[in-house]
Amino acid sequence: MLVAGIDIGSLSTEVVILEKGKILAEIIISTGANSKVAAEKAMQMALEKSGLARDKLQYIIATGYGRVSAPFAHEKVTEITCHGRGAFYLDASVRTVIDIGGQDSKVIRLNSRGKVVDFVMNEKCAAGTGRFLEVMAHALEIDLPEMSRLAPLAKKGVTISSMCTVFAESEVISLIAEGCPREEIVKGIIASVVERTVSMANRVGLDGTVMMTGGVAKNAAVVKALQENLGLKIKVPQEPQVVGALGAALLAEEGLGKRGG
Amino acid sequence: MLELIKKYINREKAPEMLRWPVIYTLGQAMVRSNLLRFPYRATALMVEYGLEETKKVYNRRLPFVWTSAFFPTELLHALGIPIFSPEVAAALAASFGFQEHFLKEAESRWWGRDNCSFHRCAIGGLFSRYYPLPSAFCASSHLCEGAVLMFSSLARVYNRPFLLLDVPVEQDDDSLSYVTGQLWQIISSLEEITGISFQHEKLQEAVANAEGTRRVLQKINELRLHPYSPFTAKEAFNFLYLNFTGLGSRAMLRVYETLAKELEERIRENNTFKKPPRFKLLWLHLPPFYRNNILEYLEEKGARVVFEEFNHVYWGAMDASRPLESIAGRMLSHFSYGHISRRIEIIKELAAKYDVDGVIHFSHWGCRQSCGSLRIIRDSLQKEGLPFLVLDGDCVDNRNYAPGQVQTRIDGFLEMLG
Repeated sequence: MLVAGIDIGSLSTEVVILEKGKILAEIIISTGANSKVAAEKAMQMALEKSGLARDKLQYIIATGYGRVSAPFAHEKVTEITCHGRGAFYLDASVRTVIDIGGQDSKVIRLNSRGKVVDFVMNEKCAAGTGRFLEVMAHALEIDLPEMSRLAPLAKKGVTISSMCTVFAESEVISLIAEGCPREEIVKGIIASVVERTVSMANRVGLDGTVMMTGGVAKNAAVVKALQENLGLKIKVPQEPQVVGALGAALLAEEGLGKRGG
Repeated sequence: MLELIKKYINREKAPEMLRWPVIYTLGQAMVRSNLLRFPYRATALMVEYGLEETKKVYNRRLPFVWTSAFFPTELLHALGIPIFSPEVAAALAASFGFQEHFLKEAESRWWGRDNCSFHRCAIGGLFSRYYPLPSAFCASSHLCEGAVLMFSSLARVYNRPFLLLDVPVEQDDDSLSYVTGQLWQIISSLEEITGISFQHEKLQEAVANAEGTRRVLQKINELRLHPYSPFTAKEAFNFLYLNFTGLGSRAMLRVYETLAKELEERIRENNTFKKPPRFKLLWLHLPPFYRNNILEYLEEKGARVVFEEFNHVYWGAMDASRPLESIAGRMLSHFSYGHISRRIEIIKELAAKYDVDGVIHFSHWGCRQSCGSLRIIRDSLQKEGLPFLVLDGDCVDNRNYAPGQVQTRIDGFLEMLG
């Protein structure tokens, strides 16, 4: 039984190909301006990596904001269900998933069978998401890994008070002009992301093992700050960015199983 | 046709054209001759009535008032004073796609985007002369403080009387006599402002109409329990126009009587949905009124809104022999006013009655009384095992509406139910 899950996000697109629960290939590429092109390209790369022809895939589920941009997918499922499913597969003790993606962030609560029982998503704007971090890194003229490296060097961190990404960027530029050390600014930026995530986590309620998924989970400084704020340990899978695609592939396999495929 | 009308929106003459009675007479003739199609005869009757009432408020020779959404309209129907509901007018403007012009007009006059869009739209409509300037502004204090502030401001700007009905939170005898006393004062002020004489029999007639309407509404709500009920939430939301302006009128009673008969007929003739939905949903608060596909999308996904909180008949029997006390009692018993437990009990009751699988709350940006208690509602529903989805949005200003984000939340919610 060969299936695939594709997660088309605003910043990156991921594909996971599964065979009987075993990952044959996983691919992460940048989405760019055209999500349809990115979906096609990511799927092609994953097929090449696994050495499979497209017609060998029995079922494909697309997820992510660009899930409608994958005409080859047999079904579309939200990233809420897919991240929940993927996280539960990686660790069955997970009851809370924090997913911070490119333009939205969410906290998902699972029951003991891994089913989504509640979720909250960021409201109205993309403050506190991957895009926010990316814009701030750009203003600081550093890349995201550098951001992660700089944060622990800060003493107190500064306060970034603007919620709007554009205003926050101006605030960062002003701080640079004032000669504020970059690590202090980075710490402030991370605190701003964490603050929004914590309030969402509190809204949905934390339970069991907490796992963080999505691209921002690769930022160790964000994870550390979140752990400190929430007062608990957060589990980060080896490749947090593909959890949505993995969940989609698992749902494809389960669906196919049910249909006797 | 709509695009042609929209072309006129910025033209100097358009506000003046709204004052031409022939426009409404023509509209009514089109309704009567079936040139305009409606899902129910009752809808056509409602539109005809709406056009008649609108013709009256745009007639410069007649006195009329602006009423806030929860002001007791029985008083005005008893006095024969036409009503202009700015919130309904804002919803209507949004449904035709005209709201942006009014919103911008209000924003350019210091009514910023943090204000409720229903009110911003109404203000913009008045400032740009599309909405008519009333003889008086009548607001009630319960549920919507924004309307009170907006009405009092406009009354000052245009030097018109502002009549406030102060509704206390407590439901007791003192509150009842307090509100009843104010209703007398308002009647007297309206007599003075409009020159219309109050007649007690007319008030009794209005309350008898309101009581008749209450009973028919209850009957409609019972008919909606049918598993294949043909009455959709979209249609139900359209009839809210009457709930905000018509209570106490003979016309509202007639529209709902017609609707009840039509629903009975359709159910008897199996002219209903052919299968029950996969998921039944209860809708809390109002929907967005600009073009959107939320309800259709839910239907497409097998989920149907089977009842709306705003169509719940929350008030008890009204006694025409004690008309003002009955109206005061209705004001005081609003499910969304006072302690949150009142609203929660009603939500739980409706969820059980309509046997819903989940509850959706559309949180309109400006309605603080509604979205301020979401956490408590959510916790209470979760205790009952009822999934709850909050859709943050705006009923009138589509600039606060992101279709993709709403769709993801709905999809996630339905996957959770499945």
